[in-house]
Amino acid sequence: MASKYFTLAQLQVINRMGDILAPGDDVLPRFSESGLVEHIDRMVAYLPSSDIASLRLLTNVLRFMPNFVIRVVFKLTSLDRYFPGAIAANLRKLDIGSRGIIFALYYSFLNDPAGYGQRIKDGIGWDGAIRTKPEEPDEMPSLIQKANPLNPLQN
Amino acid sequence: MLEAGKYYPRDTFPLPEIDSNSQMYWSGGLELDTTSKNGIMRGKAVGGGTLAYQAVMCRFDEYAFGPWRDLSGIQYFTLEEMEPWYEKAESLLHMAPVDERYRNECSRIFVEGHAKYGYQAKPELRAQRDCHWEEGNDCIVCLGGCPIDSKQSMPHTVLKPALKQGLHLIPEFEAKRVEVKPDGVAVHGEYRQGERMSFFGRRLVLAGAPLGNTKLLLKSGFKAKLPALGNSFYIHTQWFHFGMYDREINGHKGPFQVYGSHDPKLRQQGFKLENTFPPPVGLAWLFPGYGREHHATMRKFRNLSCVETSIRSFHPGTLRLDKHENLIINCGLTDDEERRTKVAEELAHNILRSFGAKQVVASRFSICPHHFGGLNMGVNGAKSCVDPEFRLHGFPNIYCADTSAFPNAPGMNPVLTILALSIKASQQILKGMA
Repeated sequence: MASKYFTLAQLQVINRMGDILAPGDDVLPRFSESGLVEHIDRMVAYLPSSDIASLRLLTNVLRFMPNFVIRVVFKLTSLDRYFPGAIAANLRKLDIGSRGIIFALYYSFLNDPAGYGQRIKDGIGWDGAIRTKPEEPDEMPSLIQKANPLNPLQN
Repeated sequence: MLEAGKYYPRDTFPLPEIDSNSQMYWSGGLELDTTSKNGIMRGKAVGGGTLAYQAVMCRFDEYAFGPWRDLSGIQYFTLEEMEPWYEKAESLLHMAPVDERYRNECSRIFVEGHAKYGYQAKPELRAQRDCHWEEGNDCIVCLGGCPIDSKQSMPHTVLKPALKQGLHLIPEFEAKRVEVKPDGVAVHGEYRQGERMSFFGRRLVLAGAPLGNTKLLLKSGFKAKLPALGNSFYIHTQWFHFGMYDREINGHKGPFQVYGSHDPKLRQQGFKLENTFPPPVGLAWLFPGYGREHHATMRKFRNLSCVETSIRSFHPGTLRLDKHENLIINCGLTDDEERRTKVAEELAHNILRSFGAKQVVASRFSICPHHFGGLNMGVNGAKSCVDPEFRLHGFPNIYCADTSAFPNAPGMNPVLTILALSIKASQQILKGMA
């Protein structure tokens, strides 16, 4: 496990969060078992730096908490309507952010050597696809290349 | 043309959802408002949001144009005066409803459910061609970009002829500041997240949508001369409602968003229902809960049907910068929007239940791919930013004709009107140059 944005300890916290959100069942793997946390950089690289800092802070805080406390935190996120404005907004942000990261890693059916992405895809039975191959050649890439005066290939 | 996002050839769209969400939208997918109830989706790629959404086409009606005239004082916002611009826009696209043969069970529930409750649902006019559903294609995949150029997205329709006529296009350039010069406008920014660059032109056309345009001008100090900058921000909140059935629905198969509610009674109430279905990551995120129960839902996703409710906001929010120049999004939603959200939800749930749904669930958050204003059009420079000729008040070399110039939320899919107004604005700009 290696990440440009998170330490090993922080990744382990994300795995613990993942095991609560996606614990696995008789068909689907547990989040930490899948090893899909290794792909986190391909998503985090596009987040604003303030969001990355918040995620690091969260993992640093949760690192010292037992799992039942993390469960309580997730439970609280679903009770946002009982809290005043700013607290409720932060609970929702935590819900959106944590579920967003874990479910994006889990349900994107990523290629991994152990085949967990494919196992999850097969497990839910996803079969959405475009089966047609375009017949006409695509002239756009060369038009885009020619249109960019900063493109070194043009000079 | 300066574009912050990358260009994706049709065979390189980042198809795993984790990549399309993070790479093709600003801020990794969503930008949250101050309540964290509403997530704004803003395209970041050559073609922007049209790669995902350029599909449902409609001309605005009097419920849209009437308030626009009242708010802006601009009298050409009528069905008659906009007619030629709509005709020109429509001539650029291939548009047709989906053949009824290909509608799936999710669509059938949507249409027949409307009829059961006394409302009309009609086929949407969609900007696409040759989708080859007979070969088993599923348009849900094309939410991350259409790999067969069926969807009439901007690169495939409008951009290609412009490039052939000599348009220069620089992708991966993020504009940071705009500076007005005596003989034109300079744009300062970063190329490929590192190299600082500046470009100069006699005229500048802003096309970064409400969040992009407003942030750029606020950072550039335009608020002092444009007091209305960042005001009049509106959205459509879009909520997802799921029904779980004992039988397979397969809402993800075949054509996408085939029907919409086209009913004057619903239009008057300020909301619309749409026949959509989210892809796996979106579904997992929108369907409430987690744990084993959530896994069980995902494993039965074929048994889910979905109805989306789209609520028109009538009360303006604001776009501001904090001290770190981050955008603060206040959607300005009130109890009225909340009430109409509940009315729409009740109808959606009734439709789903009436065809045998055992469980009906609503998403806890709305996503907002439609957002408007920030640089609202109007005749009064104290209350608006863009004049009837599409120029910023007091800045004759800066133009804007995208959704940031909309006077409010129309409650309808905006793409065709964006195109129509852009064509009208282009004629205005050419006239000015002559």
